[in-house]
Amino acid sequence: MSELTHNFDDLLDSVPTPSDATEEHSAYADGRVLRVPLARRWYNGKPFSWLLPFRQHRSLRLDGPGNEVWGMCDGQTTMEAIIDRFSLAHHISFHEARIAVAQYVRVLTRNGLLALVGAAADGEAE
Amino acid sequence: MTDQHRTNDTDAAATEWREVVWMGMRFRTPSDWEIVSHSTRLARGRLVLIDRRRQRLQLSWAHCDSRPDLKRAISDYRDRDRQDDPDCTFANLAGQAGWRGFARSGESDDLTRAGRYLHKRNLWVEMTIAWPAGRDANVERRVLDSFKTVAAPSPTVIEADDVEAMSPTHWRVFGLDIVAPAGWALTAATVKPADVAIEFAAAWDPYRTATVRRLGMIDSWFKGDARGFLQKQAGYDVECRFHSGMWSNFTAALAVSVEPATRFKRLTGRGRTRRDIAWVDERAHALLCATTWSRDADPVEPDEFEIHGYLLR
Repeated sequence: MSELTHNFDDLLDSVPTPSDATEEHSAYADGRVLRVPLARRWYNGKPFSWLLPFRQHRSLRLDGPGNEVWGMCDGQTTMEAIIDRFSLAHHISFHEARIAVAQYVRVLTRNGLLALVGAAADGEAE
Repeated sequence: MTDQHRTNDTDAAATEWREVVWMGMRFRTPSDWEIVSHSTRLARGRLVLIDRRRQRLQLSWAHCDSRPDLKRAISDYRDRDRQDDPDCTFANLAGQAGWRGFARSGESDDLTRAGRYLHKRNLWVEMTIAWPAGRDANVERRVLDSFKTVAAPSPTVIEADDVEAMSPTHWRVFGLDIVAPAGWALTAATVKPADVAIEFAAAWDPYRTATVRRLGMIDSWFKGDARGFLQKQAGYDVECRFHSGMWSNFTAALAVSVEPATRFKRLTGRGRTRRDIAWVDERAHALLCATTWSRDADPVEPDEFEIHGYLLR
């Protein structure tokens, strides 16, 4: 083991921060629907939009655990704290929770609802 | 230990410890060290454990017909470490029964490297422990001293007559504590978040297989319908006969069904019967499930496996 391959410092110190443009569209028993405006391009603006019903938003429906993760992404809580709370709530191990939370965060990030702010960048901003 | 060696000794008795049993080797580690990489091969493999942030322990094993030159192996490791970090210092391990090795201290993470040869199993075993916050001699001693061998796992192929000479094998990983009957070999372990499946096969009869699963996060998906869960596992188009019973002090649902197979397979006696059992282990906050497949003439009941769950945190 001269190579210590596993190191999660960057991930655990990062802070998931919701995008300002994200809005909660509707809530239901187990989760909620989030939506974020789509970027305006020349082909989906006027006058084409008068003729064709282009989508203005991208929506994402969260299930129960996804809703929990989203609820903890307040722009201040680190990934480590979110994973810790998630693992306690569901009686799973820290790294099981890490994989599950990271998957949700990846989906939210890919859809432009969330950004992962690194610890170093956060410090510089202050 | 020399003065150059930083130490960060803790009260090992105050740390919570967890037992790991894998491939006939048993040892204890602090309970926040989790397995993130595992091998299912008997001849060569490794088990990697990490704490929250970093790799902490690697146990590796390799089949070795004759006793290796321990001195040479240790000295090779020292030389390699010295190449990586010329200013590092070494201290020999002392007092750890059966282990030979050293503790390295330098610019990068401190490391403890220890090796031993298991004569009866013809196995060379190495344990490497990383100390990101400085070497902790108490934890090091306790981890190394806790290492024991238990019944060796079965090879994947044996003769039926050899089974009598074998012992049941113990496995304790990923929230599952399993005692498999003699002659059953581990064939796969699939680990996903809150979904662990460990597969076994009878080494003398490839038609007898078993899978033990642990499904966590049950509050978010399991509504208490164990029969419905078993039906889904077997397939909605498969006819199941259901029963109920007690298992490990928990109420369990049992299902028996016929594995889908071609008529030719059935006529030639290769069709198999599937037996499932599922129960909620409240102590482990998980749904545990055991499934066996066997030919009708030679049935395997899931209760031939002793299965318990344990809480992962």
